[in-house]
Amino acid sequence: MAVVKLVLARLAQGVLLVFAVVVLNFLLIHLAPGDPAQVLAGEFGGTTPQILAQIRATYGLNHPLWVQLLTYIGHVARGNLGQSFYFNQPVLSLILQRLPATLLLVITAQVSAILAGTMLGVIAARRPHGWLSQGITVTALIGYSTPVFWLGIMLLIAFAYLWPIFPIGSMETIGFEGGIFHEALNILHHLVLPAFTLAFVYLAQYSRLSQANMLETLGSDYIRMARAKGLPEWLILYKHALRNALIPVVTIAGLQFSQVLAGAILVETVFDWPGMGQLTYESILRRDYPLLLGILLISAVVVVVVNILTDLSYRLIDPRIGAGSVTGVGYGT
Amino acid sequence: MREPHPLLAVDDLSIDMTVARGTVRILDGVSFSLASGETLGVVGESGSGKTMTALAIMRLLPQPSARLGAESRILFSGKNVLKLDERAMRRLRGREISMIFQDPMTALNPLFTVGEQIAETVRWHEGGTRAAAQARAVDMLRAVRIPHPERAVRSYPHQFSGGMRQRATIAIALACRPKILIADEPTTALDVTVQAQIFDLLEDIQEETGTAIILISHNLSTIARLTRRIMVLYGGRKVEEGPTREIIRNPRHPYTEALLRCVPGLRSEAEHDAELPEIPGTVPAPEELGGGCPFAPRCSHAAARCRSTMPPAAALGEKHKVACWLHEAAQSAVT
Ligand SMILES: Nc1ncnc2c1ncn2[C@@H]1O[C@H](COP(=O)(O)OP(=O)(O)OP(=O)(O)O)[C@@H](O)[C@H]1O
Ligand code: SF4
Ligand SMILES: [Mg+2]
Repeated sequence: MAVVKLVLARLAQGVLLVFAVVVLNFLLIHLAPGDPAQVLAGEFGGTTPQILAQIRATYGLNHPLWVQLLTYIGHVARGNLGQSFYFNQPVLSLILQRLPATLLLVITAQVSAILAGTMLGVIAARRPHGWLSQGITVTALIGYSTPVFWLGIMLLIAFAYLWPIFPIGSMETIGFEGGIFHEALNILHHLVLPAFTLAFVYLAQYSRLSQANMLETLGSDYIRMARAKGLPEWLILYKHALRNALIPVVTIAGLQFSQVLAGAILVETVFDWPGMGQLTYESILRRDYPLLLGILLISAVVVVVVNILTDLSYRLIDPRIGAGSVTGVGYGT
Repeated sequence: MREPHPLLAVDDLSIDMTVARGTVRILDGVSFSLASGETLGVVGESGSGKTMTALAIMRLLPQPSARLGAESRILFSGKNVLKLDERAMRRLRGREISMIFQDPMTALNPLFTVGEQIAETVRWHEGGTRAAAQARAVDMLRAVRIPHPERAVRSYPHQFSGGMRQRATIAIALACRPKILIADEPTTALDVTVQAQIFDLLEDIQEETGTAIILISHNLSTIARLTRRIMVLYGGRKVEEGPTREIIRNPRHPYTEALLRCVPGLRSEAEHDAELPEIPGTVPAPEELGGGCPFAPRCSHAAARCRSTMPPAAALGEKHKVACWLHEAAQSAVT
């Protein structure tokens, strides 16, 4: 019950946030100097008077500002995010075509960074001064300071050109035919380099974080208690310590999601990955405002959804948060 | 003496600890024994080595900084546990010898139910089904007098108060019916009224199960009530040991005397939860100790010999031992 309430509360917050983005989008167009119709049409040359008139009509630009705002919100609410002038397609369908590829990339990168990072962190925590631990620190430093696109290009040169074990770009081999399984393998093969590029920065970050958390957790009283109970070391490590050490990792992962999403723009461009990032890049390059604003909006929605998921998994790990303490049994002495 | 082996015999236990400045001997030649079903009190000021003694028995000393002296032996039912491999030692921990700690607020894993933390110990040591272990958990919670044990077993530690949590750790420690329970200042972190309840509980458990208890505290009055025998540690050395009544009535070591003087009313059996008694001066850091009596810097009887030479243990009567030059007359080499 408490969980449902929580999700509803988070959804309400999310709707508010998305609404704010919508209003901001609106203001961006209307407070920018010049004719909003011109802005909306973009500087994609050859804007004819007909097109401008059409834009004025759809956006109700002849009406007072507040009517325009309401009209705009009405459009957005019905899923009408306008027309992309460069692609000459409705913005929403354009984004929805690209969203799965981006989600695949971002989620793969994020999940593998968390899994591999945590695993490395746990191993390193057993020997805080060992070579693995030091290696992780160095890698984390490199990760922080390496530009994502540079790393991507280097990986392309190394593993797609000099030693071509991975495809050079795109998401699927053109004209590839095969069963679902083979197709999935093909996509996976294309996914390796971009996902690794995107994961690299976070991988080292997560391993450092989980190493620090593990070290702290392993020094705690309940771990000593677990040892005093005679439990074997693996059980102590993977049951008692790891779960506690994961809590901050989940927090950070949730907070960083929007960063990863932003990082995907560069990675997708480098690897020609047909996702939202590439679309964003195009929309900026072509000054395709309706598309750009639509992307902002959908990204906000994605971030809101991810935050709700983070919150839920947080609660799944830690009974002290939310549900338990509110409705749980209280004891006196 | 009476049995072929006492349940536990700690023999010449010494611990060297590596610290920033080098190596210090934090425990020096401590020997004592514990019979089945007995309760032994261990008293001493902060830093006297009580916890380290307990951790040495559990073989849970901080690694790699703590090292045991070569002569040290810890015999459980006649077997030297210091010689056991880690697997065999794990079968002892929690099953034959259990330990509970000072701070119940942090001793339980916040992410698992209290029941799970009891049940996992049972399952690990004794096998059996999840349901059986869970049932044992309920029994244990009932045994430590936690109300509504069927419900409490599904609660998380944060839903328990400090006293309840200490009851829960006692339940964990006793779940596999160990022969020895080491309780390291089990009530220091609790309210005075709750302290009394926990001691009552320990007393009852001892009567019902016959578990031998080593009760560690820096408060003589709490220990006096529960134990038949007391060992006094000072600066990593055993300075006095004997029957509780005798030590309370007639302490022979100046340090024990000072400890008692600071707990008024104890001799008249009145209940007291006085804090750590104020004895002039402080416990010397282990590295400050020379070759002499560790209490010499604070002792009003200290003579030149006290500062230069360690007083050996002297037997006063059958069970009472004291390490102090004042009782040299009673000397008859004992440990
Ligand atoms: N991790 C450690 N590293 C170095 N020295 C330590 C460590 N833990 C304890 N010591 C030292 O070991 C000695 C004995 O400590 P111990 O914890 O056994 O004392 P205690 O009698 O239990 O005191 P308290 O009443 O404060 O619990 C002290 O001098 C202490 O400074
Ligand atoms: S040996 Fe000397 S210094 Fe130590 S307690 Fe006895 S009288 Fe005091
Ligand atoms: Mg202690």
